[in-house]
Amino acid sequence: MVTYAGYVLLAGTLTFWSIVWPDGRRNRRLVVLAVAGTAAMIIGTVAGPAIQLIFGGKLLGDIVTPLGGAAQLIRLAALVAAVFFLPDIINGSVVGWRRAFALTLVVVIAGTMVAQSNAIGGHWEITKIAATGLHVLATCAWLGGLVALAAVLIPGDKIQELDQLIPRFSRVAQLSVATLVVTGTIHALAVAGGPSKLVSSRYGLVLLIKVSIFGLMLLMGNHGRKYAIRAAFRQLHQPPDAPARSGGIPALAVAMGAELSIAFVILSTTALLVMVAPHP
Amino acid sequence: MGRLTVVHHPRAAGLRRALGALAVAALCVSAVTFYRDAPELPRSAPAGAGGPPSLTSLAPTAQAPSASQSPSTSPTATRTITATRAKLPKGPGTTQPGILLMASPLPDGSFDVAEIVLLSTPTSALRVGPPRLADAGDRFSRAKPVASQVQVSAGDQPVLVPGGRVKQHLDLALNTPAERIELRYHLSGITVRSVPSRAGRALTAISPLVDGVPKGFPVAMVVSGSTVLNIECPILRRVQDQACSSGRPPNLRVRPKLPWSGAVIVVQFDLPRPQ
Repeated sequence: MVTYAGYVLLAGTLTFWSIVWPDGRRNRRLVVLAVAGTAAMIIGTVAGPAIQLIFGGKLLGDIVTPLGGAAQLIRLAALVAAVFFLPDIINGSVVGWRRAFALTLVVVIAGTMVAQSNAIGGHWEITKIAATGLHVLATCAWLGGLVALAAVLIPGDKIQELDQLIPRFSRVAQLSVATLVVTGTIHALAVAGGPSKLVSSRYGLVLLIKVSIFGLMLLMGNHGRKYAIRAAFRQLHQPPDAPARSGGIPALAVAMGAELSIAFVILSTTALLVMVAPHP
Repeated sequence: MGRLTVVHHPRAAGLRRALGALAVAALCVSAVTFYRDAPELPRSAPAGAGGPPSLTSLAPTAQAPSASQSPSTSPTATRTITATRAKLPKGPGTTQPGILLMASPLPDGSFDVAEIVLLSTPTSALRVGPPRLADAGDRFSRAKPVASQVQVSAGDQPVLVPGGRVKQHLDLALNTPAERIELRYHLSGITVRSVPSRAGRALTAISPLVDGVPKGFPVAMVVSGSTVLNIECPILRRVQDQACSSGRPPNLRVRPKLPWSGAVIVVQFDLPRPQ
């Protein structure tokens, strides 16, 4: 759970910088998000096996598979790279080699999460790996971008590129949501072993809950997007001495806060899905 | 990390980048090493299985054509054998031609053994024989090993083992040619008390039942169980090589891949006290 949350924060912020707002590297809150995500992922990656070794009484060979252990080490390498090279990434606009480096980190971290997922092994392995990989990348682009956008918009700072940010993020979000729906369906069918097995299993029930929450989040997201567009327009075009209007940013904060809370529930449901997924 | 390491301070920035690159490279090398050596990591015995994992999901008494004895008179009767595929180590018998032999001691001093054989070319007949004690040392000169409840699968087909016992060399005919063969059996009559030694200490000699393979056919051997202490390879010439176990209890492996002609090990373990 900590690892998933850290992934959303770090990979989401890197993706947000690379695709939506390259000049956002100067935004201190986004830097804090990236650092917090890195720390959370490091803790999640190290603490999981450590707790099982120390308190679970298990041996190392019981806790990690060869691929899983190697994936965790590669993830740590990517996180260390994020720690040591983040100042270089944000030293200039995140374009060119900075964008390539940031997106490479995102892809590598996503790959390590796929390597530890239930996509490995069993039937339709290639399909599951591809679907899971795209699903994980779309998650960081959408959820992570949402968190980053909230960190930028809610405090109400005047931002020059605000009227470009939201349409750009909307496009990313639409593509991500479409990817999530398609890859999520493929992955669920492949893991369960078919539609009939999906609907009759505990995995299918938890997935249904996740899909319902996802639908709710899409509804919230639509309202939030409308609030954000109105709030951005007012910020850019409101005279400096005009009285503050009710609604606007506070309402946006409520909408985005609700959306983020639902996102947290989705992450928790995803963690639960991993536990109840049928073994290959 | 903050301002000191920002690129405006070239030396600090250079040091930061160098340290970062070093750390990343070290972790990547660790990942490759871990992936390669992880099968050697110690593992606990599977819960409730009480024996080595099987390549197939067949239950022990499901093989009616093999005419094997009922397990009701042996300590194996009350154990539950897992029906799911367990992860097997890569190497001889699984991913390359050879034999993977996995053994676990039972409470009465006998052993539950699985042999997984992968041949280079399919065969229509399998030769089996009793364990080779001559190479295990004089202490086993009076032992009378018996492999009972022998079950054999060639591919997915069960193979008839007359009487379910192997006391002498046998040629078993396979219904269809197969290159993957699995044997499961109960090995008894092979344990001797270790004298002089502490009370309860015992020794067993184990070698593959599979016969008729080239002398250099590689054999990987694993002995699992919390009471297993050590493994000796009496065939190896150098004294320092004869202590040939690697890993930690409850999962010990024979460190070198032994050739079939020298695949005899002596297992040191503790017998449980009578209840």
